[in-house]
Amino acid sequence: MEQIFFYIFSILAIISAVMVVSVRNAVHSAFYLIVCFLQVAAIFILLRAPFLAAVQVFVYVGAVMVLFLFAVMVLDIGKEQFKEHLHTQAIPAIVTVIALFATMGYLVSQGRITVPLGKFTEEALSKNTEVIGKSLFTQYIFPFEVVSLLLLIALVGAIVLVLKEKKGKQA
Amino acid sequence: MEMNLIKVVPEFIMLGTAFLLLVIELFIARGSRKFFGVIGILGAIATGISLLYQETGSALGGLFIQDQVAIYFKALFVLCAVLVLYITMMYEDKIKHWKGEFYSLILFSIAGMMLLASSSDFISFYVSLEFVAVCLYVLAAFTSENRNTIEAGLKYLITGALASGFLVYGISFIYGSTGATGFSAVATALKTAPGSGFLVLGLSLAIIGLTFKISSIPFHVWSPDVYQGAPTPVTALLAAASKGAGFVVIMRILFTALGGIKAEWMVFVAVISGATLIFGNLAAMPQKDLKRLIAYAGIGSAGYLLMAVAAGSTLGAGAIMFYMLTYIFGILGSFLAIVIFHNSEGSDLIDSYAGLSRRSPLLAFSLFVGLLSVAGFPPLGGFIAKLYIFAAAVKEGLWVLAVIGVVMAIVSMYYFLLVVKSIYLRPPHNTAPIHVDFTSRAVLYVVNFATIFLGMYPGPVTDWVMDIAKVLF
Repeated sequence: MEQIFFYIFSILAIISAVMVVSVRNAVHSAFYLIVCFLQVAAIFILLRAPFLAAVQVFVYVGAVMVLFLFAVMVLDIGKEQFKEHLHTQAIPAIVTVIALFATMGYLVSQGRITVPLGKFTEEALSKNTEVIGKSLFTQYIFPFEVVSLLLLIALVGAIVLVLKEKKGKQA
Repeated sequence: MEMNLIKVVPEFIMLGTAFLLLVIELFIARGSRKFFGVIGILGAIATGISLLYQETGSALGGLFIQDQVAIYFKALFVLCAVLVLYITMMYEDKIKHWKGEFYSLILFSIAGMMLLASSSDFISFYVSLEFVAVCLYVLAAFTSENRNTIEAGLKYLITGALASGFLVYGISFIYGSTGATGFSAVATALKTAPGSGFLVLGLSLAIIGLTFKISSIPFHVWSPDVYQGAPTPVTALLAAASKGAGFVVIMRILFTALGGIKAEWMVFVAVISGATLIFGNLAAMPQKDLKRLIAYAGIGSAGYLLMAVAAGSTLGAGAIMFYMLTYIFGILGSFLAIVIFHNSEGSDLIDSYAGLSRRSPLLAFSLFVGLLSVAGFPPLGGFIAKLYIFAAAVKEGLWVLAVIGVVMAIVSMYYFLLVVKSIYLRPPHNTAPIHVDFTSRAVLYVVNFATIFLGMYPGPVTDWVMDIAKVLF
């Protein structure tokens, strides 16, 4: 049963991901991305990670995509600006994609992932959020703090690149 | 669960200085920010002193490792910070807006590289890498009044995002086939279970993603445009520090985590190295702009360093560490001379350097020493470094690669000697002498002395790096 759902979600996710890069209209592309993110959230639920699924929906589908759509609409990127610029790269790209698919297909058919699955305690299922919070602030404090620095730099960078200093500032 | 914050003190000092500059900026009026550079240099020196007192061990729950290699690379990054901040002080008049943030972002990126040098887990490594990358994306596009700079920033951002995608995809396969994210845990997992095809795929994708940081094939395309278009201090930072950061993580991933399956990656890295060597050096020959020429030469250098990675031995790792030291002195000395020349002449074209020896013998000599050291001309530091790399490659049986390397070293001497010929032999377009102020003179003398000293008497340093390189294996 779970496997059937997994295949449904992942096939939908792949189809929508392909649509994201192949449709011409930026708004449609953004909507397909939302569909793709929702499928990934569903897969997270299948994997018993409800917190990640919720974050996926709230942050990506909710915040990030709304911001994307805003940007697309404010900038008014029409269809005509998305004309084909990459003619020369189409053939190498297709060759690379096919080669990667062939490699992956071969590896999957060999079926050599023999690693034991991660620790899956009862606690992780019933107190998912709590367990994630605890490990973020204990074992993974280093990456967590670096991410906070990264966000600060992104903020400073966005201001620095876009805003020109006001003339009124004292000389 | 051990935090052991004392091991992170150098990073705290660096980050603290960066925050201090961000805050001071709010309270002072417009105008020159030269003293920001001085504060930054003092902060970097304090970081360097705190590094001297660091002992080896791990911190922050084992995701942060402070070994000799990490301390060595952190010292290199601090050295880069001092020189790049000095170059920024020379360059400052060309930055119109947000001067304070420029200094601050340089310090943030150096702090990020220091964290990167200490990462011992794929998660902390990836997050630190992105932290450095975001700082550099902003810095590369900083003077956004200039069209070339916008182009440089955009190219850097887009190729960087793509490379990052390759890297994460690769890491996910490595995790999937070993079940561990810590470098030493991956190594332990590989001892019991041999590598599967997915591991090799993940490894290849991760190496491809990392080639962006070190500007080697296949992610080299950004580097000439970015080196040329970005503000010169940022170019210097990218050329010296960012490349070092890329190599320290490559060494940790390939030697420490995946050392058990060396046979799987050796040929792959060797092929990338050979292609990078040939492309970088041949493409450097027709260049007219000195920054662009250095970019292609930098691609070539990445090829040499990858040759040492492919060797995968203690000798190779030590050679990388020594090469980075000589490279930093050579390239940053050249960039300081380039900035001073650009301030006076407003041009980076090789043609405009004609007759520089008659206008400013010190600038001419600095470029001579710096560029020829990067080319690997005896008796300068770069020559010894290349010698060690060739020795490492030959010892591991990479004959073909070593021969390509020697031929390309001769090619690189050709195009760097063209620059030297322009500087020393051609008549100047304009005979007015170029003024170099006292501090710049002192800095140039020190950097040139270091390059020559490392070439004449490398013994103590090479013995030392060969000794500390052992901890990687």
